[in-house]
Amino acid sequence: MNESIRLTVDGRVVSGQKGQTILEVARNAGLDIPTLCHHPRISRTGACRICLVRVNGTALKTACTEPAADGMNVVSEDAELASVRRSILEMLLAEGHHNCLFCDANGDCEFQDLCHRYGIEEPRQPLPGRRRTTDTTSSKGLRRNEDRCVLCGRCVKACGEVQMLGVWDFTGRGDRTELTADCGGPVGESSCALCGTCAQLCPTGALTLQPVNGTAPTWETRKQTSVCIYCGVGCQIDFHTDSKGRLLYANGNENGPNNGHLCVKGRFGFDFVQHPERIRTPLVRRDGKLVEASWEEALDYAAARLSEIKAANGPDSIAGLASAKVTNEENYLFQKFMRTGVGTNNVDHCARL
Amino acid sequence: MLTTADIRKVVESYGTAREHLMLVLRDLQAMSGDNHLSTEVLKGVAQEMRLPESIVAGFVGFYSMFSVRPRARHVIRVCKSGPCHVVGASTIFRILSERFGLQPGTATPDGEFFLEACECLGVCSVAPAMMVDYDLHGNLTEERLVSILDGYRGKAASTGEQCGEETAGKAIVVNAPYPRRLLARVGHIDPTSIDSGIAAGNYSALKTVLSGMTPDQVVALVKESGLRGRGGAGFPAGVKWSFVDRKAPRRFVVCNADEGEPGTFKDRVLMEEDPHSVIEGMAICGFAIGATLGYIYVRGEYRRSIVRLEEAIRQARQRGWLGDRIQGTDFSFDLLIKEGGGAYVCGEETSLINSMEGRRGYPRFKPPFPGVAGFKNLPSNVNNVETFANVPIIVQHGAREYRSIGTANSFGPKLYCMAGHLRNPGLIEAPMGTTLVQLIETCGGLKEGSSFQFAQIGGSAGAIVGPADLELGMDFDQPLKKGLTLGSGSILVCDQSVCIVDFLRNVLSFFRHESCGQCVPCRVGTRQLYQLMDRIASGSGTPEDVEAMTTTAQIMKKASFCALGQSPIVPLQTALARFRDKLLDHCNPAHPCPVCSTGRGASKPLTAH
Repeated sequence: MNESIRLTVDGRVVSGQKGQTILEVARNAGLDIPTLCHHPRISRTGACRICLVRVNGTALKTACTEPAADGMNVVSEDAELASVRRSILEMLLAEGHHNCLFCDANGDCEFQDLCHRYGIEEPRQPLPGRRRTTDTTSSKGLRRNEDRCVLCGRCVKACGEVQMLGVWDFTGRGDRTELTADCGGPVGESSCALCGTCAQLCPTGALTLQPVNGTAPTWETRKQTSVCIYCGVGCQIDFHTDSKGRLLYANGNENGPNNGHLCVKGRFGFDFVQHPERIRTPLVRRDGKLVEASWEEALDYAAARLSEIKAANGPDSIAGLASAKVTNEENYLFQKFMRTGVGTNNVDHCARL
Repeated sequence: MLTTADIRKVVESYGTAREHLMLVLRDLQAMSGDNHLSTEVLKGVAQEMRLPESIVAGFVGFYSMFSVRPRARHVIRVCKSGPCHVVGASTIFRILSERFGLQPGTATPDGEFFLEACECLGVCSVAPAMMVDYDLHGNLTEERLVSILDGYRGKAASTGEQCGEETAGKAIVVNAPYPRRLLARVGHIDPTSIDSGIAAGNYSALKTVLSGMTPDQVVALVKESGLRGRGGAGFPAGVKWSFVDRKAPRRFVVCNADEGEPGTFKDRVLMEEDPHSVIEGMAICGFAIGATLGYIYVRGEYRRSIVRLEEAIRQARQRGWLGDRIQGTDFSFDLLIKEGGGAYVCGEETSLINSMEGRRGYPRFKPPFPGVAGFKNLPSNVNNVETFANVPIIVQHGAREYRSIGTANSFGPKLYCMAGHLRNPGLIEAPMGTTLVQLIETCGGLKEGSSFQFAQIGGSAGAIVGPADLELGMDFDQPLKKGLTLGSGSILVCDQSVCIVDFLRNVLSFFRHESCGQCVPCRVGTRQLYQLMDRIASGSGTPEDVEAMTTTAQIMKKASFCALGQSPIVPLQTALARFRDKLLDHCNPAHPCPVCSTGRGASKPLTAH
């Protein structure tokens, strides 16, 4: 089925499959073509024009949309392509208000990286500004500052294609293009499910996450990958921590089984982890009061009491309720324990309630 | 106030599929009483059509005929595109301001009129023109303007049964010394009667095709004829037909009737005066590519074209020229009409397809081309109205005779739309390659007192040519050799009263207004170009600004997603090659330009043609 193809990119022969784009083939081969509107988790767009490459000597094609073909000769950058990329970056810089000092994405911004890479300074042709929507308070999950928006459309597709909600779309036309959440109005009053995918896919600071435990400069944060504890799907989460190890924000790990996606719980529900009131040991009730206990003590106590109750009143006097926060395997073990250990079919799961 | 029941009723009348969004919203806007779509209505439509609200809001925001703010009972759309601009559109705006207190984007206090500046309405032979509701009014003078508007007071908005003055039939230049094939029936038949058309030859070509030709023979015939697309790009139509994927379960024929290129009105004349020629051409194409359904995407402003086509389709079905088993053969083919909502970019075939599907009119990247994945991702062959109208002529007269008309590689007759400072502006059918000067002379030359300064050929995206180019043969290839393009075949002739800088500012404001905004170079570039030209026109520009415009337009040419962003370099570069000194003169504040300095271009006295 898969037809393999060979093409030349920057003098190197690389191979790929028919149906792949030039960008996919090049990136698989470890070659770098800059992009801005492209994201592997959403459909092809081809709007920012940053990834223009030279195909077969003359034609400029967007690597993110152009199908790779057998025998193709691709040049990923030359003087003309670099000048086109610089012009596009300058245009974007002139169009928005990118004040990095005050931007949540400073240091973690694909647009900023590209401007550094191509040595962009003040745009040669400033554009008298037209301020777009800023709304950093209405939503519990999202901060929106469209003055930093490059209109790449990743958020629109993140919501429409990944979360399948379609909260975002573009409205207006031409240089009046802007985002709309539902029919307009604050995003906090929209049908947003707070999954945060749009903010995770935003290449700039136009859409960012509300802080859960405070903020820190992005260059002082460290990424630690973990597994979400909320359900059996087992989404991988990249937790970003500050220099003191405090958990600041969470992104879906793009390589995890969740393909980078998170729900509202995984995205924002981690403030309990380092909360001072978090229960850190088992608690056993003594004299009417819950007191800290060791695991051995707590398990012994529970086993003893369950045995007593079973002996006195029979196994059907005991019921077990399992949690969606544990894995399928653990849920299996739990029902096995209830059926064979305790001897009752009184077992249920919170997801059924 | 529209109720949920109203919204439900309208949605039910078309269906809940997304492709009906345009007509659902159009009807609801007309029902609102003040020509707008409230947030509640948008939410209601989203709910009834089971679409995310953002999609409905984004759709409405894209098309300029919709408004989310209340307007007034009647919407006045005054054309500000080149052909109207050079004959005094700014005077119309001045009169509306003085006599009615109307500025673009405002309403009269009594809620009667709302004024909008719009782009070309396709009645350039009677410029300056305006549209009130769906009614067109041309040859405007101050007295006429006032009396026309007074006639609307207190009346309900028309929704298209009466479409204002008859313009298309009168748009043809009489006494042109060329044989008429495309326009043979125009003016001689009753376009609302299929019998009248059939008596004059409509459907005889389809009859020939159905009585013995194979689809491959039809494709071969069109290839052999050398017919090239009349929308502007000049791609060989037969080759395009042969690219249509035959393996897919269904295919579509799509007619591009989104005639938005300023100065172009040829398709309107064909649709309004000889609608069956378009239907016949599409049916032949359907037979050739194995399609059973076709769509005509007509721009929303062309109300009369839509009404005439609807009636023509109805009559054609009745007489068995459309529908199941046409004329008792095995071939079935039917047509439906789609409407535009005011967006020039939808003339780009992939934008048009997106618009047909109820989406924002963003162009799609190619490949895949529409012949492989078009409307609803099925193979779709898109041709222009005039291209389809050529097909019956080719079938009737044969490829050889067709190739005897015109010039090398540009065969057949061509419709030229003549506008500007001409004695008799209008539509001319002439062989491909007819020279500019011949076309101008056919219009009786320039108006009295006018002398030729320059012309823009091919619409706003077209080149500026000077007196030295008058011998240029107007076909696909001869202009190309000089870095010019034929485009849609419109020719806007400008006399000495027009300032090239003001003219270019007008052209660039058009691109800025019509850029879809999807890709960066076009979205930002069109705005930069307009601002630079505006600065030069207002006397505060510098020679560096002139160079900066060229640089920007060149980047746009290289990097833009579709032809819209790749186009501004054409008028700019051709104008600079001929009028660089005039641009530089404007950069000298000691010599303010009398035309540009008024801010809105020439304020000319209006004279009836």
